[in-house]
Amino acid sequence: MSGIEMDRDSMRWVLKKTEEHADDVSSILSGFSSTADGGIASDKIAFIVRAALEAAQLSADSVQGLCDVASLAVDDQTATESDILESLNNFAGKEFD
Amino acid sequence: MGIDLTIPGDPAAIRSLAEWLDPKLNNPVNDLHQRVKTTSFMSWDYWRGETATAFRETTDAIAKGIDPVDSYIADAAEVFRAYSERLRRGKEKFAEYGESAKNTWLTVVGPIIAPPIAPQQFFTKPGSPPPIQRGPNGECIVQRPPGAYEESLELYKKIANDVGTWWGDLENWVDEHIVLLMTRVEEFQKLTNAFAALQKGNYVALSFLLNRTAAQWEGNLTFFEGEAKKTQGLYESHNQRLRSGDPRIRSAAEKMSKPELRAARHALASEVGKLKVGTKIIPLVGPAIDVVSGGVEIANGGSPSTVVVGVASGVGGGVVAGAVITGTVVAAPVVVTAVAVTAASVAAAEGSRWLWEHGVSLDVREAIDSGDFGYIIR
Repeated sequence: MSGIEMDRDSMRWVLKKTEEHADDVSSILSGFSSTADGGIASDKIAFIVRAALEAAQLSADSVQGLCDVASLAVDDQTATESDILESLNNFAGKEFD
Repeated sequence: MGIDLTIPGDPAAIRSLAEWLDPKLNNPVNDLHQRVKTTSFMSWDYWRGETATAFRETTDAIAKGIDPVDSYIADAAEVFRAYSERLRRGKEKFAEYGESAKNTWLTVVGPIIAPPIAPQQFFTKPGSPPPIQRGPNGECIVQRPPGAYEESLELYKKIANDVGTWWGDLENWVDEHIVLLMTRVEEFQKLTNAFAALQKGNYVALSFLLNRTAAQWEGNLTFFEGEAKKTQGLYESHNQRLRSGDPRIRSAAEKMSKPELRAARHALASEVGKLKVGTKIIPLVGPAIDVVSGGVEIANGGSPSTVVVGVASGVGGGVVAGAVITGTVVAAPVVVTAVAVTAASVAAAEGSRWLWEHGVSLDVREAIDSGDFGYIIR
């Protein structure tokens, strides 16, 4: 068990900026509203719009989740390497190459 | 009977939807992607050790997952813009058909051109004029000049053929561009993997993420989907009526596509129709079993869509198999049939057509093809 080697103020600032970008996406998404009549492609257009909105929201949520875990490392002075690794050790697989 | 000149759809509203997608949504998504990459890069200065390495691995995985999202949104917006312009140009063209029909002794009531009626025959002495015809209120009916009936019949046939061709062409276009976008939901696999990995055994992130599953836009999107479902049903019956109205329309439209493509199209319409309003396409936790099981049924030959999977296996078999067997893409049956439509449509298209499409946006290419230069310079 060892401490975390980090410039906490700088890292806190980096994460805050990143979270702001995730919030921007969520905020734009919350304004979605359309009643566009898509003619013969109505249901296909709705499918594509849903895919786009879900993917954008998933992007924002993933980043927010990442920032939450990293913030724990930044703000919890008692957190150790092993505590944080437990939360961030799932990404070494080849599916993420 | 007759030719219905109605083209369902609201070009201006579809265009607004496209504008919302890109730039309004696309720009912040693209900024987010760049920011995540920057975050990973900057962390080298501020965070060292094993946890820092894990953080960067996580950040990089999420960045890769987000990577295709902005291009998907941008492509969807481009296709929607082009589609809205197609509808707008089509409505203008059909309005011209209505005007020319009126000017050529055809009866036009609302959007319907009635079939021409043969003139009444009279036997009169040579050189004497035909008797004056009167309407129900005693008004004098203007006699059509000699040859007017034949001229109106010719125009009627031509309009029926052009209307059928226009619809056939639009359906092909929908397959090549809109259905193609449906098949691309698999591009979000890495994002789904990254999100799932973030949640795995991760109580810190999970507690937060579970609170965010009900997004604010869901209600408005569900309403939009509900409306789309209603209008889709109306337009399918409109198209059936249109084609049964005049056989020339049906044959002109069907000349534009092969029977196997029409079968695949029919199967896709059925699969999309089965999706409930509000069905999630990208799963938050694991696959949505009710939808995926339909895909397994197709793979086992238990569904009428089997023939469609057969069509797809020739071209997109790998993709189809991946979608069905792993079950990681939630809307598997829809995606399978969408791949089939795209495959049949690509097989029918000229190869060269697919090669020049990069570089100039779809809506502008289409405007050039239609001679609509006003669209390009405005």
